[in-house]
Amino acid sequence: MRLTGRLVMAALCACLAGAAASAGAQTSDDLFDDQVLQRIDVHVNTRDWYWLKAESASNTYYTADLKWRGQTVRNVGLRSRGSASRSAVKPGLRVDINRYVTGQTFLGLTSFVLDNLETDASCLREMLAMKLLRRMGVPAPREAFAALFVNNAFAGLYAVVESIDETAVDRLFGEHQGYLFEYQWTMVYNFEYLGAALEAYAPMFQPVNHKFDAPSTLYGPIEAMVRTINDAPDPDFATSVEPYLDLGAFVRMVAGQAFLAEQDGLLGNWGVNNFYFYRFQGTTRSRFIAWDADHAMTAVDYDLTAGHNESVLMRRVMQVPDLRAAYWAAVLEAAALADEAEEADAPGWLEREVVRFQAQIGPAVRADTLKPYSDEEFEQASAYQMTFARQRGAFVRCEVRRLGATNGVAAPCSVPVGSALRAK
Amino acid sequence: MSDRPVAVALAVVLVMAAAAPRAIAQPVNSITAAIAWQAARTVAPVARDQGEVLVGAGGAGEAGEAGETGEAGQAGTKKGKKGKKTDVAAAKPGGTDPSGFVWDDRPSLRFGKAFRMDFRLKLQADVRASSQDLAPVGGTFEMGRKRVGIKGSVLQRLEYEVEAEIGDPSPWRDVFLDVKIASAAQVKGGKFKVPFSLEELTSPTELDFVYRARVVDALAPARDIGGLVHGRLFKKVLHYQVGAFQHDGEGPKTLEPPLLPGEVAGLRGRAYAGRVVVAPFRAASGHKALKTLEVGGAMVTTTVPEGMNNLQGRSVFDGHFFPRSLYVNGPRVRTGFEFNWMPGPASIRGEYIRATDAREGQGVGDEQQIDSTLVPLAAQGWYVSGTWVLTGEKTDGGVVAKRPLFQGGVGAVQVGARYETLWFGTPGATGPPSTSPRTSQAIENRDSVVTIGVNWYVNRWVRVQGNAIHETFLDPARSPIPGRASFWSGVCRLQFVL
Repeated sequence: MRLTGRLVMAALCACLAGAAASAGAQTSDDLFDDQVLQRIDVHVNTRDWYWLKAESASNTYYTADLKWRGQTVRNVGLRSRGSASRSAVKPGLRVDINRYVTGQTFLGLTSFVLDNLETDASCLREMLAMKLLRRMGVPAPREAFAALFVNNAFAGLYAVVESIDETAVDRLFGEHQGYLFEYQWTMVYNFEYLGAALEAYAPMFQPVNHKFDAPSTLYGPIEAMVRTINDAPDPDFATSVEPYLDLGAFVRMVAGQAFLAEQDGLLGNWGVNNFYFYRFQGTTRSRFIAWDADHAMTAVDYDLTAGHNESVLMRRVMQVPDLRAAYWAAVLEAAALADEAEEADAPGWLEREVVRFQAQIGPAVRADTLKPYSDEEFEQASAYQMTFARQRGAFVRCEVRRLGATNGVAAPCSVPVGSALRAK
Repeated sequence: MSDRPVAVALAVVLVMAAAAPRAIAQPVNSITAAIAWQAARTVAPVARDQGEVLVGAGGAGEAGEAGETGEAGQAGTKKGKKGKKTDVAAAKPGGTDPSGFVWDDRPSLRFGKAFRMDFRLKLQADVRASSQDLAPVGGTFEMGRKRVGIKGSVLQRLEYEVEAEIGDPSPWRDVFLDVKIASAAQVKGGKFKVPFSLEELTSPTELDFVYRARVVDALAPARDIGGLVHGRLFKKVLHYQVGAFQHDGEGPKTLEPPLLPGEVAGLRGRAYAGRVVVAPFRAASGHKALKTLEVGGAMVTTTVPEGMNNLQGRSVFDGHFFPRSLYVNGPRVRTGFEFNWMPGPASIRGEYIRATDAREGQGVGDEQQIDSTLVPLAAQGWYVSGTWVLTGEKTDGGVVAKRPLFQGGVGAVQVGARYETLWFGTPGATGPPSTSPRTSQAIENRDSVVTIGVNWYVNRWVRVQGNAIHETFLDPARSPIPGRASFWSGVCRLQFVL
């Protein structure tokens, strides 16, 4: 191993030693503690590991033992996961704690995700986006960076991501008996009414629990919600939709994603995407839960109204004065949280997090020979996230003023000359 | 559906057989001689033909079912008891051996003592009922066996058998030659049952109950191609069998894990088997009731290729209670102990069988070792059964109705009961019980079965069996009826054997 490689590994070990030293508390909060680089060990039969990677498009489960901070969980289920991020070299992984052992949990969790950070050379977008959304009070998974070791060999930098399941829903909403759905992207869809046939909604809203309930129970309220979103008269829109959807929570989530320049979220470029949907027990009222934000933070000057016209739901929400005002207020709140400084002229919160995470993961990224990008690309992408963190708040505030004062007629706000506007 | 014509044929045959007079060996071209011969046999009744072989005592054919009971070597399962054995030629007027095509309980082609070829037919039809859904396992009616074959001897030194299952894509059952060098040394080659387990080596047409015990079905190897040296020593007190076989019996195909690039599929290893049965009181004077007592032990070793090739547990009607879902690799060792005693109209027998499958390199490993070796998977069980012939016939040599139906009697009636258990698990393993294919500790399961049965021997060809079966599973979640720990089943079997 070259000297550089040895130094990188030494730095990585130092980071992990810091994590180990902080061991003691053994809760899921510790696993998702992003103040340290977690170390997760997976032991899997070499034959299974080979085929998990070779058939990364398959959801076949393999047996593994999991170790974290001296705790061992035996016989967990391990499979490849992801959509565009599936990889035969550095697979994204889903860890099912109770796949083979009924009732088994790990720190109270029944599963979690090891995100391979395949689509983001900076490795930072998902982590930062989810953290900001959580600061806004938007339901989002907890995450932390982790160095993954498979069969005692370093297998790359991953993000350990909280699964959105009944356990997570319980943490987020204080109940889990309701209906939880994972949205599956099947087409460009923007909440248009697809008719009364429930089969039209079933492929998109896949139940996480209550899987064997009648379709009318599962999808009936969803069909009714979409019908109401499309058909409710303008004056009654909010009151008609509220029984089905917490519009205030929706507006905050959309605002947070708008600040984060999320291209693949509720108002994404390819229709609605990347969310879970929870319907509260005994009601028809639902909320969105954020998921998978690796396409966020890609443009400092990302349009704050992107997707507003395409989405039936957002278009009609913005026609309700109270909701429109709430939206812009939430966008400004996101900007304020991102730029929150500990003292005058000091770096904002988002910038400080970028700096901290860069230091935390830098050695691991450089030691990660399985990542699909070079160290130089990591440095460039990482530098862009710094630019985004520094400039996005000012741009957003300017845009809110412009859109509010001139109804968008004035020229768009600009960013400092020479700054990169787009992530590479 | 394809069994319907066979079932109809069986029904016709059964009716004809029930109405037929007690058959005798008679040259078809000599009615007069046949009448005289019949008179002679009436004085000295012929033992069941399975024992009526022309080779000397102790030959494999002595027990008739050469592939099954023939190699069992059990005094009790032999059908040709010395005391009753009546050579066809000896009973025939004039003392000459018959030649040509004869009828001796079954059609037979003979040329004196030099050659014999019996034509065999075995038909079984079952009507079944159970709380378990039988549709996936063949329904409520099943043609259990439809076998035809030939069996015989040449020059009193060579025995042979060829038997096939009609309609089976893999039809061949017993196909072998057995050369008698001496009573203590015979050499057998071909396809036949690996010598292990008293009940496995007993012909299905001779079983006390409709189905073999679960432990036998699950753990005993069946037929395979191989060679066997066997014989009897010390006045037949000891019967030994030592053999080598291609594999450990015909079983489901091995399920290889996906091979890695350049990797060659593992091969099933050869099987080596040995079995010894001792009848301690056979040669002793006195202890008449104990003469039929036998005890024995057997072992079979082989190598199982890497894959989900573990021994599996099935209920009476083929419901999986311990499926084939664990990775194994390495030696498979079977050991068995048996006893058998048939005093007068009673019989009592039992077996204990244990099998272990190694799991070399099948674990997930840890800091010290990648692909660790797991604790072997174990399966073990036992059964004990007893029967009583209400009509008084002896069980030694097989129940033969003294007064068959329509020949002055109602046949022979036998009642019996059996208790058995079969368990799967990983004794000594640590870690949480799991359904993982690479778990250290598998979730154990056990099937405990009580069978109550009645056998009606209508005549020498026809038998009717009825069994009531109660199964109880340790893990109700993996019962054939998920969530239900125990349930009843019943089966009625009609059997015709030539």
